[in-house]
Amino acid sequence: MSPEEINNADVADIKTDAQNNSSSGAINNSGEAVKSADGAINVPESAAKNQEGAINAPIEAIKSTGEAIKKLLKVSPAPHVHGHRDTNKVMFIVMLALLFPTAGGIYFFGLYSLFVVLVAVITAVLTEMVSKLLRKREFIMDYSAVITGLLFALILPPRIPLWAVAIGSAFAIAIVKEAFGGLGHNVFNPALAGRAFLAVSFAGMMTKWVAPVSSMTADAVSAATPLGENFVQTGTTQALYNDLFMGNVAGCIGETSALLILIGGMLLFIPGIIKRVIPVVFIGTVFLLTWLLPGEDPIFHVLAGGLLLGAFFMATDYVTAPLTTKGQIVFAFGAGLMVVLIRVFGSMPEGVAFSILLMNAFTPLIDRYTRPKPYGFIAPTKEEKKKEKEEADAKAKKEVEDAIAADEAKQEVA
Amino acid sequence: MTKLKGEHMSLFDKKKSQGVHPPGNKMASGKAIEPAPLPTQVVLPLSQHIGAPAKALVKKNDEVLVGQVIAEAGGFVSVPIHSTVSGKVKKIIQVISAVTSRVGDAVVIESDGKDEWVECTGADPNTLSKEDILAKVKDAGLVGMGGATFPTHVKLQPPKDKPIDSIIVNGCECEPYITSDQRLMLEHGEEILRGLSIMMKVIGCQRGYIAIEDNKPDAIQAMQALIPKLELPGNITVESLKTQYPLGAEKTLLKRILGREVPIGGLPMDVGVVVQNVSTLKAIHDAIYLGRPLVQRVVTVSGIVKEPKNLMARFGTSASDLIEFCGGALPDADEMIFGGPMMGIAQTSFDTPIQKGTNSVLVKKNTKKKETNCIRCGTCINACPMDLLPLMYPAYVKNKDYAVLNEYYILNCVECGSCTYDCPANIPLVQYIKIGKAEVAKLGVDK
Repeated sequence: MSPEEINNADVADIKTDAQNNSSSGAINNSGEAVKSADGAINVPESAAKNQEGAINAPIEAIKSTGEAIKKLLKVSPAPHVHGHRDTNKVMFIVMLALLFPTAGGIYFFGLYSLFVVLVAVITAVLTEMVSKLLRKREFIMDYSAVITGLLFALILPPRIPLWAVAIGSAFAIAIVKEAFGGLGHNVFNPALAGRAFLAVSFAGMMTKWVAPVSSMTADAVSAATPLGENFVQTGTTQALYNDLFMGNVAGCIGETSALLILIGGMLLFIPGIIKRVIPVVFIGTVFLLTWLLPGEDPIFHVLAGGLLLGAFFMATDYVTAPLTTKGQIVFAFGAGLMVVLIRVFGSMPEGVAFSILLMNAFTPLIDRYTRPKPYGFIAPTKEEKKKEKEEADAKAKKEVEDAIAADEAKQEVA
Repeated sequence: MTKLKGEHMSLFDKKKSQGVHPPGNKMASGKAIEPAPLPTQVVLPLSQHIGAPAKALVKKNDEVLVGQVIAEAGGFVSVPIHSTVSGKVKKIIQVISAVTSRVGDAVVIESDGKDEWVECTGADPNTLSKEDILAKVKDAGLVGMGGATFPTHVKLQPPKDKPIDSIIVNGCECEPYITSDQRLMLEHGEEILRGLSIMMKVIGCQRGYIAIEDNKPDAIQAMQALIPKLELPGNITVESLKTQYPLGAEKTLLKRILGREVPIGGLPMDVGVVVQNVSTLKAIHDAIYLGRPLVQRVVTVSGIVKEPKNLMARFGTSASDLIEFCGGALPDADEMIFGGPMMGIAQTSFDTPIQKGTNSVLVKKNTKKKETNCIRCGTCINACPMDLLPLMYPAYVKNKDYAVLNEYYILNCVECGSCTYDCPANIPLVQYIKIGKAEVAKLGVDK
């Protein structure tokens, strides 16, 4: 709005909006008030000058205390200070943490893995740019697409063709994330959904595994993952644990080394980016259940496959996990239970991706039933509850009856 | 780690924080209260409090003295307004109240520079009846000076069916920058305690708590030393509380001290407590012992001004006068806030007059950032002292789906701004909540 357009009333509106009390000004213009939050509103000098003493004392009365006092003031809603938290910062740290397992993947499975990672990340960012363009939204480089690309690459087999990587990555961003409204609105974890998409579309290439290579350029030899049916344990159990911990086994690019995933996970714990509850309950559930089941080795189940990567980096995804600690416990327990069911009783050797995706679908439901009781909440007594229920029932019944009556009236007219 | 009263621990994560920790920035904490220079002109809005606006009793060219009633109370929940300078009524204009944001009349008085007072006769509260004290409090124009500006005489008369067992004196001052209450406790502790004593007599309760955050050890010490000296009746103790914003909000404060929770939609009196700000108690003391009406208060002028100060300023003084007395604002100042940076209200002009609820004039640079998408990180849930889900509100407000807001207890929000302070996506959650609350209140009326 130009200064000329602003008259007394506008200034008053701006002020009431900004100050957002419960008087009508703020509400009539609620859209305005919301918008104003983006940036402060400038009150044009001319407007203030035009109305002698109408809003505040006239501007000529301002004492000459220097430049600043003559300058126009910005008006924006409280609070007027902001903490250090920032989405970009959070995303950046997650990206850094992910670089540990990525580096491990390149070390264990050769240079080709680096290409997989690069293709996944670049496709993800480009797809996000194009999607934003199509949706007529502003593209913000907030690392979220980079993280999706990275995570997606980390859960792919090391020798997957690059064109498949591009398709999966584009699917993850365009369909799973942007089609639902972009960052913060997706129901499923995009990387996991991208992997699931590839798994059902190209089942063959998604189950081809290679043994870790000794040098960066050596040829790959096919091998079975520790969870696979064809896997043959050669050394002692202790040696297997060591290999699993260091990452010297066949598997997805980023899931093999427990050590590097733990280092990355710690990077997220220390600044408080992820809470402890999801990884602890998720891994704990798998450990406990496999320990209770005869013939299963709990330590092996925790270290093998994608459990650690999933528990630290995928299940903790803010967007697709429940909000409250209570909800997160339910979510993580459910995911752990599903992993054990799929691994032990299912037809697939590994089930971390599907178990997290399944629990993602339950997240809205879990959120609904784990709302915190607010300060000052007094639980209604049984009688009150009964009364409330009766009232609701009566209301519903009346609505139905009204609808029927209206319908009948319509038919009569017809 | 000692467990704080009223805080609960969870199994896996650190205790829910119940608030945030903005940097204190108490720049003026070492500066004694100085009287601000007498203004040449004052603008006195007739609605400086919650409730009905006062009704003007003066007209143009009337001569007035300091402390003379220029507007009478407009109802039970209302207080009179007094002139804060001696001189002549210049005109009556329309202003937007800096505190309540309503448009209303204001009396402009030109000072004659003589500062002549009306006759004030003090009294010993022990010789006064409860009704006399209440009348004096009302006539002195007292309102809650912590910022809410609720008429004090109403607060002093809780309904008969709500017995009050404790009074909490709020000296927390959890907002950054503000130091007016701290200085008042250091320099006028005796008046505060005598004011508390009067209040305990009127309400008829024996237990008084003085709540001070532990970032003000000097104030805690000063008050602790004073209590035995004055030999006041009743049991008065000083509570040193771990600093956290928004501890000064009365609901969080009484939970921390007494472990009680005010029911949703209720007031502290529902759980037998009255919370009163230290400045108000000093005003009660002045109104009774000295017979003085409320014409001035301590205002912290801070932020990017040359020299932050605590000033005893007359109501109606333009903020620019106070800023000028503090050496002026620094060049990059483009925002002025009445109150603290967390809940204060941004003003449109440096000339806005200070009022009964203005505890601070904060000059700063606007640092608002652009709003981005919510990533459901849950930071706001952890920050909320009322255990709400602040992130749920914006979507429902944007879609005008106001009925759902009630299911998320939106009316329980105290608008402290903790959620918005910590939000990594810079979403103005409080702003959405304020709009939503107003709409929900309208829905209630419609039914």
